[in-house]
Amino acid sequence: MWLSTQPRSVRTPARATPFLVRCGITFLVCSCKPAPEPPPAVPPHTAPAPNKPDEPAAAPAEPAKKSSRPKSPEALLPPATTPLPAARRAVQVWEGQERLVDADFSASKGLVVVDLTDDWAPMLFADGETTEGKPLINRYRQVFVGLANNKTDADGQPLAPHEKNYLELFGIPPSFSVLRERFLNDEGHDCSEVDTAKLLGTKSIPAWGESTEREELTKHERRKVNLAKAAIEMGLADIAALALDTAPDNARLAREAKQHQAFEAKREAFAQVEKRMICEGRMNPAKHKVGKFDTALRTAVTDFQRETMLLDRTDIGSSTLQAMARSVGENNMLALRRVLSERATHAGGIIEDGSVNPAPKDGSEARPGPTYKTMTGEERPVPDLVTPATDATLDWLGIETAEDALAFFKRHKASDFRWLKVAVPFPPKPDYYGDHMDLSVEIDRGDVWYDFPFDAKGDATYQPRKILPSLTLFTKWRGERVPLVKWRSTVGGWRTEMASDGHEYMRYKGSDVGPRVWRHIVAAPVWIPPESTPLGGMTKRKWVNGRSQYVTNYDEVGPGYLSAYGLAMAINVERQVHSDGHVTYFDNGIRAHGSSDYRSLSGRFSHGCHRLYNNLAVRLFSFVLKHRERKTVGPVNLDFRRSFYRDEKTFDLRLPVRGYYFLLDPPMQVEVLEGNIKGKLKKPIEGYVKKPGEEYPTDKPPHLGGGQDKAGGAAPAAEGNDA
Amino acid sequence: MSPVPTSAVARKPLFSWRRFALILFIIPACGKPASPQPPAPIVQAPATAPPFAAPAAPPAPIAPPEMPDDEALTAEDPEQDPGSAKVSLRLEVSPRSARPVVYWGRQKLGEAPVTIVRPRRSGPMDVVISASGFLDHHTRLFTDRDDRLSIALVRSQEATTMLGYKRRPDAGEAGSTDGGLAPERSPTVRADAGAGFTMPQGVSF
Repeated sequence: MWLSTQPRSVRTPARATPFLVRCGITFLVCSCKPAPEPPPAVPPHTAPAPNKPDEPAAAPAEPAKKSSRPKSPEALLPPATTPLPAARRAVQVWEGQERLVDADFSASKGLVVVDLTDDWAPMLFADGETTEGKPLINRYRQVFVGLANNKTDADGQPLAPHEKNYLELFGIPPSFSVLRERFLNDEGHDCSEVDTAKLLGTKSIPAWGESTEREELTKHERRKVNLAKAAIEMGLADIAALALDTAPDNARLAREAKQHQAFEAKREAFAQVEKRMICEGRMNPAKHKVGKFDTALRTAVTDFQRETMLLDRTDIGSSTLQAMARSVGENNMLALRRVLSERATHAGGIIEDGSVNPAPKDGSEARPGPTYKTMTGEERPVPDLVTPATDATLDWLGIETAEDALAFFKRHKASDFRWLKVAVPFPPKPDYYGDHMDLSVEIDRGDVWYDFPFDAKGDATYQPRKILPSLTLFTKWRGERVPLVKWRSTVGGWRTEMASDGHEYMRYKGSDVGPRVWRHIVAAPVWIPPESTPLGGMTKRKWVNGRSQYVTNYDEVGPGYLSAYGLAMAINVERQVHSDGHVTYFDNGIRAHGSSDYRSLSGRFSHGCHRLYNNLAVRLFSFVLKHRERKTVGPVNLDFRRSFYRDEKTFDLRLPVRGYYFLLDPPMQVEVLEGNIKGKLKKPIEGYVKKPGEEYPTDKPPHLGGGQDKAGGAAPAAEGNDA
Repeated sequence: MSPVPTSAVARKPLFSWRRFALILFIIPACGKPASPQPPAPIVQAPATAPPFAAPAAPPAPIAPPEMPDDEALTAEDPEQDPGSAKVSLRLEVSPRSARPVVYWGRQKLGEAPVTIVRPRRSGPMDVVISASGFLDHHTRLFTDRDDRLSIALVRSQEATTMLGYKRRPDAGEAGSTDGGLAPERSPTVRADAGAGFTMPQGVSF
């Protein structure tokens, strides 16, 4: 259910073994002379900037380790010899030593300055200004930064000190101070008491509810007794021997014995999960009943999955088990890599992540991927730029292992992340890059079924989809379309909808096909719920200024990462030229947008919109804004207010602005491909269809609603919506 | 009854010269896919090039097409002092004769109208307005900029006119004094929508 995907600010117990022992701080005072450029052999010097009271200590407490990857000495900058303002400070690690360099100078040398500060937010959330130079404040930026730093909740209100946000899955990576805290708190947590062989002895552990779990455990015990009895009667040593029995007469018992063993393996893995969660300090053993998937364990596992950016959610799937089999440090290192990857991608203005030519899942050799032509006509594969950019960033921070990362966070105190940046030589950009790229998007609907998904008896029909929807970003270069990224997306399908008679019907909510354009990109958009939206979830209890009270639930309305439109969206509109020559843009309510419902990307349907993971939506739209001519419109007025009744109270839903708008000028081409129409019907069914098993007052379903009935919800008229 | 419409299609020869000629005649007119709700008359296809046709030559600089004015999108009005550290939030409530009191959590802010001064961008304030004989009103004030809000309280007996009001299952017939019918404007609520009435899947798009 959707609501269960919502993250919450969690109260985490203190880590079981808090970081107590700190190494003695050794300041390495090194001589610093202006280094020749490039220095053939670099003296092991560190940044010497004399510190003002509010300036960070530049000297590292511990020497950084040397990376095993070769680094180009041409990219090494001379160390700063004069005090630099915070905005111009960057670091580089060379030969195991960290030096402070001039960020401005490094940019002039073609290096990319990757921002590691806690105040970072993607470009999409940057403030803009009007043509007259007046500021256009991007309000969500502050919330984004507050969430990333565990300072605020989704409303932008202060978070209690013990509460944490785990929002990477929702597009908000943790700040470096948060990562630092993780590394330091987890030092010494090797969790070696966890038996990884037992942990990986099963593929998954089902997340049963309390009653189901009780029933299954009872069933298991009963089966165990029966099988043990049968084994004795058959003269076998134990149930394991019974499982190996190949006699045809004993096939059923052997099968049951195997089922028993599989269940036992799950129980053993379950015990290791409990150990791991206690070891990591995520679960208070006093609040957990051993052997039960109770609230304490469920909460701990969910936190673990969110912190580790796993899609399993409450299920303990194979990826969760594998992540638990890794050391705490390794998981933290992977988190650092993900965060750096996001920072590097935005800093470099790059997007190619290898998704246009993914490695085969079976481990076989990748097939030749798409190519582009260089200026000289040479054909080259479309590169993965994100991975080498991330690697380079780690290299120039001197981080290769979890231990390196720990050393990095030890030598930089939390306040360093007010200014810390790293100057990195990124891989050269392909020739197709430019200030204004001819970008376009193709959305492939994949395999599409219009047939009603239930048969006449009311049983669900099998509607397999081999090809799932995808969104591909192209740039046009030298007469060819070069694919840059190809990501999983969603299209519409059969959905349940509340009709005007108050009953639920099925309705096909498809995704429009054909040429469209993106004119507007919106950061932190709000979703205007149609009046037909059930009000059950529109209020929630919240702690407000010292008191728990009901408030309007803005989570799914936004702006915010839980909004129905996610952190960002582009509006698919159809360009129409009228008889008098004027141009309008028809908005049928379809958007390409981020989504907090990240599990839907694995094959569920939308109401017609094309969803993306929130972080990818932010990446995509930031990239588009960086490489397209555009205007910043800023916060667009909405001034929406709706009052509603609930439980003897009235509530206001107030939406002052629609979001922070950018106008692409010229608009960007979007082509939605029809996909492969499967089944008997070649066109979708219009109108409502009765749900199997439901009772209705009349035989005839009501007509569809009006303008609010659009695929993506209530499309604001301001998008040129002519309907 | 199967909800899937079916149609009987008579078998005909797959190819005939007459059909071929007809198709040739029709194809040029059918280049544009159907729009779900076609608006005003359109006389030509989008002026831009077919989106993914590969040109023979390297691309020339893109000439921006004519952009219509975006009249409907209006940016927020500029503030008098966008750099001020504090914002002023004004809350007016009617009827004033009800002596409505404004609460922010456990803090009583006073009798409406109230003007609250808060640090700019310090997060929204969820306030409750209480007055005898009226439903408690929950609203939100925003601290991104100066905010001004007028609230009209709803009398308890006027609750039936509100969006979201639902008749109790044990309420009498329409028109009775103990509940009555749900108003037409709130079709989503049913008389039998009980406590388990929760947000269905699909609120995200």
